[in-house]
Amino acid sequence: MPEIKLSNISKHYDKVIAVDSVNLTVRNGEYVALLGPSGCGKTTTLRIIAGLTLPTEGEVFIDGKDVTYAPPGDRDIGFVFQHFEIFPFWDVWDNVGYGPKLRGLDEMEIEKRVWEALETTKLTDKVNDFPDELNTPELQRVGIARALATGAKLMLFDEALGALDPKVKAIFQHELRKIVKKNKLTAIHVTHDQLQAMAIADRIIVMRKGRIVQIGKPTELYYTPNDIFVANFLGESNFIEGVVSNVTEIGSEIRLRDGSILRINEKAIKLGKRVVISIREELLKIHSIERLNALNFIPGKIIEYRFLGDRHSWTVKLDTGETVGVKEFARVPPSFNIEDIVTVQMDTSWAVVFPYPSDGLAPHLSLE
Amino acid sequence: MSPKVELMHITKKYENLVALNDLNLTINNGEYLILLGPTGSGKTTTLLLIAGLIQPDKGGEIYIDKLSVNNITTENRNIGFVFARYALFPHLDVVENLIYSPRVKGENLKESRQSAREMLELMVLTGRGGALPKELSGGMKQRVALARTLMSGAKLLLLDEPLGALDARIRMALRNELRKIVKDLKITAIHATNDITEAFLIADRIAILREGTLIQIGTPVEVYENPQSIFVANFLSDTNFFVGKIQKVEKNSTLIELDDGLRAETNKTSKAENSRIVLGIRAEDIQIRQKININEPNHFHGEIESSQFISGTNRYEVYLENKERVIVKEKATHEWFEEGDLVTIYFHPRETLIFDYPEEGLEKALELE
Repeated sequence: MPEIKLSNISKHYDKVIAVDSVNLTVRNGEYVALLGPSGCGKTTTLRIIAGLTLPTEGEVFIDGKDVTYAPPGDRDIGFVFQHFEIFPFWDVWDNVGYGPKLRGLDEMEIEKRVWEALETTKLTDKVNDFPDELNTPELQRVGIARALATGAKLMLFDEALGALDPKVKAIFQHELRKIVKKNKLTAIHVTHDQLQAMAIADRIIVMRKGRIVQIGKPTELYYTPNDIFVANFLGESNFIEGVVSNVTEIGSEIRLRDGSILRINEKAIKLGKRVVISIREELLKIHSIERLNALNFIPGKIIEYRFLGDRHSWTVKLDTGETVGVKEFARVPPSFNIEDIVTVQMDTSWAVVFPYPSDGLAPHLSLE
Repeated sequence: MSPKVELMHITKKYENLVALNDLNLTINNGEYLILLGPTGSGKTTTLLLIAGLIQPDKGGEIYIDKLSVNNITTENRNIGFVFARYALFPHLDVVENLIYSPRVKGENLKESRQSAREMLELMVLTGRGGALPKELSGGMKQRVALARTLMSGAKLLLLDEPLGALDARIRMALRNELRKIVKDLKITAIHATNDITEAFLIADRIAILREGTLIQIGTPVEVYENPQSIFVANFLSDTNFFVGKIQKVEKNSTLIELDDGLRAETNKTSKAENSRIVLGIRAEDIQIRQKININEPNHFHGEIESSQFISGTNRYEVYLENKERVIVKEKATHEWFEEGDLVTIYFHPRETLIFDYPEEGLEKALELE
């Protein structure tokens, strides 16, 4: 159950800064996800922890010991890749036994570890199968069993579920978390899939352009993002522009483009300041009334509807000119039609206010 | 007018493998059809057959606008094809990529450039016409690939996992756009994917394939509300399954005795008493609350084994007193249950799915690969 510490880690490739001054502590027994778009530096960070890439600057500590320049083999790490890297001419048992053998363990210990790993990954009936006899999820299990059998207490997953079908992936991610927790491992899991990150991780580290943008539990990142990029990248948010029109004891009022007023809890903002409010799609509610002159009600028109199974998805063009998405968790037929004139009520208790960025919204909403 | 496509008795075998088994499918004018299924279910084979890149086995016929196309080459079927991996010419800029095919066909340069500009506007790529592919992000490149395909003027578009190579978050953003573009251009689209959310967001109708067989087709509401098999119920949502037998049939209600001693009530069956059934309950149709002392059908007691917050939803795994596990999903609120909490779960007799017990066994019926 090791603790990992990255101190001021940077990695430069010629002119490209892949990782930029990353400081991070992963606690004993913690499962963290490194989340971000392609090229954000998450895989490079993982490889630096594994010792597969050397940092340009900074130190890596495992359990307080500086391992920055230690070879991968000395770090006691299990690594699982997206493309499994299974030996094709070995059966499952030999593939899983490879790690313990390499460590020079005696026969009994190898036997024990391999069976434990196979049991954990539900592969006991596949011991003598060869890789070409297995399907993709089974191959992925072999990859995980092999990492477990090494006995390493630190697991690094690099898009380890990336090759699976979405449905299989959705099931498997919960299983993977259980395996990690049951075996009391520390795990660092790289993914670009925000839903997967929320499903598996105790804490998520959001990266963008080589830097850490925010670290927190899924609920913290979801409800209190400290950055417009994070608010947009995790979950589905609406962004609405306005100006602070009143600041009182209990909160602030924001005037939107059409004159509607939103009241929010935030008090630490200046009167007259231009802001962007981020609010989750499921915190919006549609009413079939044309106009209601009340706080947190904004008139608009329904322009799109999709049925998503457990929820309805509406798109509403507000009178402010902005388009918002509304997710309604309901197992009843849809209550509105396209073109309906409606009023959208916003539950602002979880709305987040950001100062309007000086370079405009677009660069902050970019998903790259 | 965008074409209508009909597949009649289409079978495709490769040595021992049946890639498609007697597929009958009609795609209407201007319809957006999603072919949904796990890897290896026959989705890509179907697209390749419509494109004429492979031929059906004897007896199968493909019609495009009532015309049998079995003897018509791919080039003459007037089809646009988009793959997961965008193949753009790396040394040509965006506009040059777009007008490549019209130019080869000898079309007027000025007009081609004009339609390229219109296409870029539609794809929200205005101002990027002079960029080289390597200067574009993955999402942009895929939009250029789509634009290039559409520049051919094809009214039938085939898309094979068109968003498959993109980051999850970009994929989310693009799928809404994709439907809009296809609808704006009034083209017929057939789109293969293994992503259920993508299917629900985009499709007019969804055709669900499994092991080369079309097992259900309908609008998103139809396939979700009335899954005709255990496989579909499981594939389209997180569904909990219980095996049991019909105990008593009354006018508006049927009592079910589950194998593990639990009792359930449904108002949805026409099955005979004593018949062996599988009861399905979707994770989102279960309500969860602190344990209460109640001994009624559809009320099960258990302990929270895992509690997770995923994008506005709470997902619980509940370990029931009878040692079964149930998944429950609910909209996240200010309160939630933690691991170890004792709870009672409840579902309405209306929110139940009843299936005959499958001959091949439950596990086999649910198998995803």
